[in-house]
Amino acid sequence: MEMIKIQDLTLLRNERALFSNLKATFATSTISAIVGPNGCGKSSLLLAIAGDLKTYSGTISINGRDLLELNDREQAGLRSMALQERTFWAPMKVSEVLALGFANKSRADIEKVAEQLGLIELLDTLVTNLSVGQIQRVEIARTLLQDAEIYLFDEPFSGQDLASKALLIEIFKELRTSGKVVILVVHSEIEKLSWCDQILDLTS
Amino acid sequence: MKARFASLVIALTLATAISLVMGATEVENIWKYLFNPGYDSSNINHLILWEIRVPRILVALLIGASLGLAGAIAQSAANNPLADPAILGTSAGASLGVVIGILFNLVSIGSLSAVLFATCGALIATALTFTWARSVSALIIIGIGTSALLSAMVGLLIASTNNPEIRSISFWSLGSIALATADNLLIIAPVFLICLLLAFKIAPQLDLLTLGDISVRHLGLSPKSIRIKAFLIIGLLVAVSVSTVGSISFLALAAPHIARITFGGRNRVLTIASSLIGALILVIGDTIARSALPPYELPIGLITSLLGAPILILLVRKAAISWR
Repeated sequence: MEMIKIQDLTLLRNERALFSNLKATFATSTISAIVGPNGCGKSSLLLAIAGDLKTYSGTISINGRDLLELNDREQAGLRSMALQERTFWAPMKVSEVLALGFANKSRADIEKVAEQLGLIELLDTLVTNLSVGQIQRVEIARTLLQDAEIYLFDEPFSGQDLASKALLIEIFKELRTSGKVVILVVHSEIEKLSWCDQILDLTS
Repeated sequence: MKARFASLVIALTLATAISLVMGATEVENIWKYLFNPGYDSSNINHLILWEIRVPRILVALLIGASLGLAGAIAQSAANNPLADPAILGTSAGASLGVVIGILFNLVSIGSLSAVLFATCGALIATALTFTWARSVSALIIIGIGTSALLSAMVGLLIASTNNPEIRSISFWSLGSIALATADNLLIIAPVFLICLLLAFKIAPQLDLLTLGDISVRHLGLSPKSIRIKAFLIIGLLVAVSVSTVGSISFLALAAPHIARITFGGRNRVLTIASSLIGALILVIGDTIARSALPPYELPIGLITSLLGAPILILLVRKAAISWR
């Protein structure tokens, strides 16, 4: 089923067009990768789908409704997003950061996701003491904890070792199996993305 | 955690007890007068203790707690470890509000009307900083700018008048508890308690801000509305403090950092811990300020910096916080 439909999208950032007249659709039970050189607007496209970047012409519709008509709460029920290069300065434990905003989740839910992402040993560690790759996995764990239909991941593989990359690919496949829309911004070469259902190359 | 809180409460009790004993004048039979408030009430010892020292110590405790609380909320609300009421322009705005009020003969220091003028100044200044700043990193620089602008206006207004009610530049830049009275407590105490309750209530929302604005919005919440609630509380706390004792520097920056390193970053715990640490620093600071060189009073803002800065530097070095 077609979940996201992008028509004639021209995205502006700092009054400069990143790309023009983009057409794309993202269906349920699929994994899509957005690729392209630095600065071509991959992350901006993800932010536009997430409802954060509104300087565009054309339309982005989700479930048949224009994104701009959806309020923050409606969007929160539809999409969950992992940002890249997150930083923390306040000394909170990993378990505390994972639980933030998810009052409906039990300790068991949090431990399950932590287990999936290899964070179970780090639950009592302060986020200020984590490596870049570990922080990225905390961010991805939070993204998975939010109940949504669309899961967006900005550079999920950055800072990850090979084992963690394999772990993440399995997680994306599980989301696909459970009928979700998965969209990733990645830096990998296209031939290494055979496990994706759709590759959107912003160079062309 | 419980042991650390217990140590903090014991330290605060001890510091308060020492503060009661120390002073320019020695109070004879101090404990007898303290535990029997009605005893021999016309005696000079009774008067010094109950009319001067006890109110002053209570003012120091409550103002210290108010500033500690305001600083903790400011850092969480701005999601920036450098944010404090002095840097965001809140304190300078409050000072300007009171100074303008005094110049037009509308308010006197420590009165409820002074608090109102200070609150307006504090909130306008904070709003200006947040409107002008377009990013978290710009916030601190813009805040310093707003603060410098408003402090300069305070200074110029003071220099251009000989109204004694307006106090000195030193009062508005370093603070003084010397002229605080028991009447001030009628405003300071309820405002602090109300703000502490409100802060405790919004603490879980303040926790969320550590995720950054985009992630908070992705949860379907408005970071802006959380921040507005936070800055109303900060404005009120700073207004009461500035309109009673002037601007006491550094305390609101140091107390929450010491609290965070000792008790963790959750705002429920932080609001209480930072209030207690603020109270502790100020009550020790005030004791030193009034008893180190009697009969002279040292500026309290200098003592709080002298006490808070080394603790802060040591703890931050030990915690090895990396601000990536």
